[in-house]
Amino acid sequence: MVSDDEFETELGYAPLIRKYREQGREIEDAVSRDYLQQFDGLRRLKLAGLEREKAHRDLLNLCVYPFTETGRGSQELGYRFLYGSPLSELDKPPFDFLIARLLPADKPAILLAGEGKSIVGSPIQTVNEVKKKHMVLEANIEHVLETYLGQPRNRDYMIEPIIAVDSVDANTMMNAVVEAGTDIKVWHGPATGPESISIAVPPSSTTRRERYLHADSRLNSLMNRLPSVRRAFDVWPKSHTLIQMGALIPAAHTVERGMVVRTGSLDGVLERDLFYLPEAIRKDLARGILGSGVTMGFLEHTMVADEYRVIARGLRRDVLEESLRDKWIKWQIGEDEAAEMARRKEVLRKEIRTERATVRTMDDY
Amino acid sequence: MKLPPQDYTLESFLQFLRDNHDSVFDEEERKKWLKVYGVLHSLSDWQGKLFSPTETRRLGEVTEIRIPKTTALDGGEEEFYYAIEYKRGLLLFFTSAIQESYKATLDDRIRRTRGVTQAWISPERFQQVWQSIIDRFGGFVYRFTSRRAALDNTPAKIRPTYQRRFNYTGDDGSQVVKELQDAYGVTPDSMYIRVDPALIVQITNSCFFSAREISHTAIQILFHVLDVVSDELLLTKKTSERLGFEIVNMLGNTTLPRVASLTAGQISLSGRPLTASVVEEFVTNAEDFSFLDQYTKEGSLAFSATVVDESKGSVFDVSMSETEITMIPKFNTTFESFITFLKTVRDQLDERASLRVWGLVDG
Repeated sequence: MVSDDEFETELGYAPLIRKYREQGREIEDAVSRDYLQQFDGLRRLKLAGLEREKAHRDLLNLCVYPFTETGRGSQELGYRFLYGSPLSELDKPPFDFLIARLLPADKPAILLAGEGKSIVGSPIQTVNEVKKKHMVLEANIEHVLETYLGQPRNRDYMIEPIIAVDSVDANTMMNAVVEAGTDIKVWHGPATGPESISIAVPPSSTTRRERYLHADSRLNSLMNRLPSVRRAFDVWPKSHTLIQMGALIPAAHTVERGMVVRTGSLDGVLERDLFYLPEAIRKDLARGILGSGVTMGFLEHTMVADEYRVIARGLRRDVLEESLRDKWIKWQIGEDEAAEMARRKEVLRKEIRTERATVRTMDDY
Repeated sequence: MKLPPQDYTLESFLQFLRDNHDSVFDEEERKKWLKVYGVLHSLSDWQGKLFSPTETRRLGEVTEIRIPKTTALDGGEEEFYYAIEYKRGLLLFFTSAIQESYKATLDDRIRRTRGVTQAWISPERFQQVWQSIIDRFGGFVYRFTSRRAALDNTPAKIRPTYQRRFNYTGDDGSQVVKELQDAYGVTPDSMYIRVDPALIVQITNSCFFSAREISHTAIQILFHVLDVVSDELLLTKKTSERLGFEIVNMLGNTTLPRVASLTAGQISLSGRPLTASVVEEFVTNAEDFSFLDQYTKEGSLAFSATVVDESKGSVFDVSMSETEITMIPKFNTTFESFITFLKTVRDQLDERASLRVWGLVDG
């Protein structure tokens, strides 16, 4: 979008410039007033988005935790949680997680590709979405085998797509999967109460019932209220910006005058949760987080390279987090406000351009 | 308290104290008491981490420690401690230092050093300790303090939701401590026992022992206390040390992908199920920790957060349901953060809370 000055030069006609300035100011005042009045409501909306994301994260953790190295899925059956949001770095629609059994090497690798839906809007739409992601994964299987799993590109494999839902939605989702006649498996875990993950088992009358269960019967047996936890990996590649920025808080160190974040410690924090990402991608993410921190006024550069001072009162991490959240919300709402202003001014410009086309000045002759 | 330099064993050290009480201890009344602090550590060189080389001197099995007092008013004075590793991982510090001075010297070091913590005795074990002292050595409780947190689910007949603290003095203390426990659900954390007319001992749940007379009986009581509590202390320490997180290559093979190896801890609660409001208050009261990235879902409770130990820097996640709290290590963890968290849970929520490694039947 061109700037106000450029637009006025483009107009080159004083009465319309005056009109643009007056009406532009009115738009700015009106939008600012609206956003100020609605600030509390907008803040609640932003936080509600964050809460939805946390429910989704709980579900993903319930799915993958038993497949970490000391978990039963890994210890007893050799399935391991190996990647989050595979293919997202290629801008392709990713599953949320990838669990795989790579051994024995002379048998096909088994890939459990899972999509978490903590809220199920349209079950059929979810099924279609997962079918599409399955196709994309198949189309990129050589990249997946080689890059994520360290396997030969031509290794035999089998993909089992999974939709993971809150236990209250398990039947609905199972019915949608059966109705669609796909090979998708449904996992479910309770959003509250004791923490576990299970596979939804279709009624015994279901035709070709086995297609909704894993080929490995031991996995089906294990996935019956398998104990898990809702919190193990906080940051995922596609996490909400504020969750990703939250990595700044444990990365902060106390120094003589306040707190600082060093890029090395932020890398360490991110590596803990995103251990599967290549270092370059993780470092890009860290740079993005630090850049946003500076933009929103939470961080500022110091004289030391790779060190940022936290602009917040207090040394306790909970106080820092509160400050980060407030600054992020203000920044986000400010961005929305600026976008709304720009949108309405663009409408005004269109009107004035139309009007300008009907006016002839000396320059036009 | 200052001993002549020579090689001591624990026994000869205590014998020396017994035989030379008047010359070893200060004139001031409060400094006539022998105080013993139990401290847990996981350090290969605890002397080197806690003290500078000039502050320590080996006296056989005993280490003499002199810590400069930090306040200007102290005028460069030093506080003396004598330390011995009673069992691997459990240190005993002997001193006559008064409480304020201890806080400014040794306690300050312990709080600032990773890999070391004051030991905490569980309420159940503490009950066993004081009761068994009376059963075995005679005497009675004549002074005690008992507490109850507002959220505590220990049974109480009278107004169970109130936070309260009793400080009682009276020769019927042994009975009153139980009566108050029954009626008000308070748990004792400090006791003075008059074992015989000449011997008074104090014990607290922070693994502190103190005696006015250093008699043969006093020393026997000290060893009795250690016998009763040390296994539990060291077991909790061992469990906490096992909790951790590392990123490893699958099956140790560098051509295979990296995987996360997690050993989480699980605190089991025995009483009333946790609710969102109880957890909210717990989070507010747990001052040693910051709770970040919190997420609460009501109904049958689901609460999770990233927890930072503000003193020791440990970072771990917690996930709570109505009856269980899982601690999932993130980074920079040290065992005492988990012990302090367990203590906070016991103080605030459930005195019978127990810790084990997640996924194991016994930790």
